[in-house]
Amino acid sequence: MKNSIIIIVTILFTVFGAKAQIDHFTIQVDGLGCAFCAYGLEKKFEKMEGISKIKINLENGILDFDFVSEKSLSLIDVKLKVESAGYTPIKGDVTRSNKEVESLVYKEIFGTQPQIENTIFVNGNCEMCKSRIEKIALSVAGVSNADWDMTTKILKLVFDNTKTNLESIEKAIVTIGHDTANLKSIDSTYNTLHTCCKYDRTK
Amino acid sequence: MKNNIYMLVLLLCSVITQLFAQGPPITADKPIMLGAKRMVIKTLTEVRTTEKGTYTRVPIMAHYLPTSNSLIAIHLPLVYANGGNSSLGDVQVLGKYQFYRKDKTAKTFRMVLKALETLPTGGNWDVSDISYGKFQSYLGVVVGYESIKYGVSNEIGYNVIPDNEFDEFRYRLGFGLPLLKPIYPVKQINLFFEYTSNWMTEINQYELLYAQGIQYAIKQLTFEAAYQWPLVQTINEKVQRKHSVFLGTRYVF
Repeated sequence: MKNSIIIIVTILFTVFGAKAQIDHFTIQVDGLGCAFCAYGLEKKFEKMEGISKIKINLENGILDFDFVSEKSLSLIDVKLKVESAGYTPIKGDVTRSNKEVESLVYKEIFGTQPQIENTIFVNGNCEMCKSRIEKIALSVAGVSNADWDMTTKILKLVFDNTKTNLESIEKAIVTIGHDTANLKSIDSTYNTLHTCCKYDRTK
Repeated sequence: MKNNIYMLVLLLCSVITQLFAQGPPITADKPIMLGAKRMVIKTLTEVRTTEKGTYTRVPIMAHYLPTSNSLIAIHLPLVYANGGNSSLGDVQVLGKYQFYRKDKTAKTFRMVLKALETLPTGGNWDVSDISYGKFQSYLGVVVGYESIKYGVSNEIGYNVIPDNEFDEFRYRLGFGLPLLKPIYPVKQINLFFEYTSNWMTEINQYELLYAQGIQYAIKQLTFEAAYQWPLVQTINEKVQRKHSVFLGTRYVF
């Protein structure tokens, strides 16, 4: 009986004592010329599961909120949300639960600059792969944002489709040894990868 | 006539010296869209006293934004004439499309195309915007600049009534003055100064109206009231306006 109580208390402590991991987002938004404008923006974000502590400052156009880490919200997702609310995202910063800080300067997408969001599969293993893949994607003219997810191996891209396309981006990626859904890197380039980066090519 | 013009100029001068951000205008329109998948339910009752009699229009308006730059709406009005029985007035269907937007920090400039179709569901009372009982088509552009320091809203458009001589060129101008510092969540008291100009081009008759309004906004709810009177009227004396009182409320979902 005593042992059962100890086990139950331990389990309860583990479940309720552990705090959710939180990412903190700070986004600069243009176009908030009135208080009702801010209302429209807040309502758009309120619907997201895992979001809390939404604050909007009208004077400097800053949108702040917390988001549950495990749901992996990217700065690109936030950008798309702000745009669907009818405003212009300028810059985004996120402090992840592990204290890592990411920043992104968004480009304006209205007017004559056609920006496309798309995703491609890129094979890789680790943080070094992430850094390498994103760097080569961003080096392609017209690509304004690249975000590779280590778990899903999906590379989220934002690019100007008058300057480049997915095929060109994939061709750039395979030159550094990473296979994509449609193209395969040559063996000699793959073999130059660091040991921890040598992903399973059968997948 | 001269006195009215002097008053108009004086009011414009006093308004231009202190303009701040405000909520949506009362009798004028605005180019601000509140985001995709939003709905606004509102009403703006008008009690209009004219030389012909007193008319009341009570519309229930439902506005929906399918995307962040488009809006569709339906206006269902109940109308009363001279204290008599109520009836359905002219139902209106509205569409808006924001075709230009330039955003900066705490400010925005927007341009919206507006189309308003009025259906002949009401009786022929021959009172514009109350009940005409005729098809009417309106096409206009709403242009506005809003910041937390000042805001101006303009609308220019043309209303056509087929087989009728009362086609109208319309211009609306609105200024808002917040009495409290703009904050979020919304808690604001605004004063409005709004001008409506109607020119019946075929019969060359003109009216310039001025509305003084006050608005209280808290979170999603807004209450507003305005008093409107003519500054200039060259229309037939038998149908001239004396004044109008507006009372309204809106709720944003």
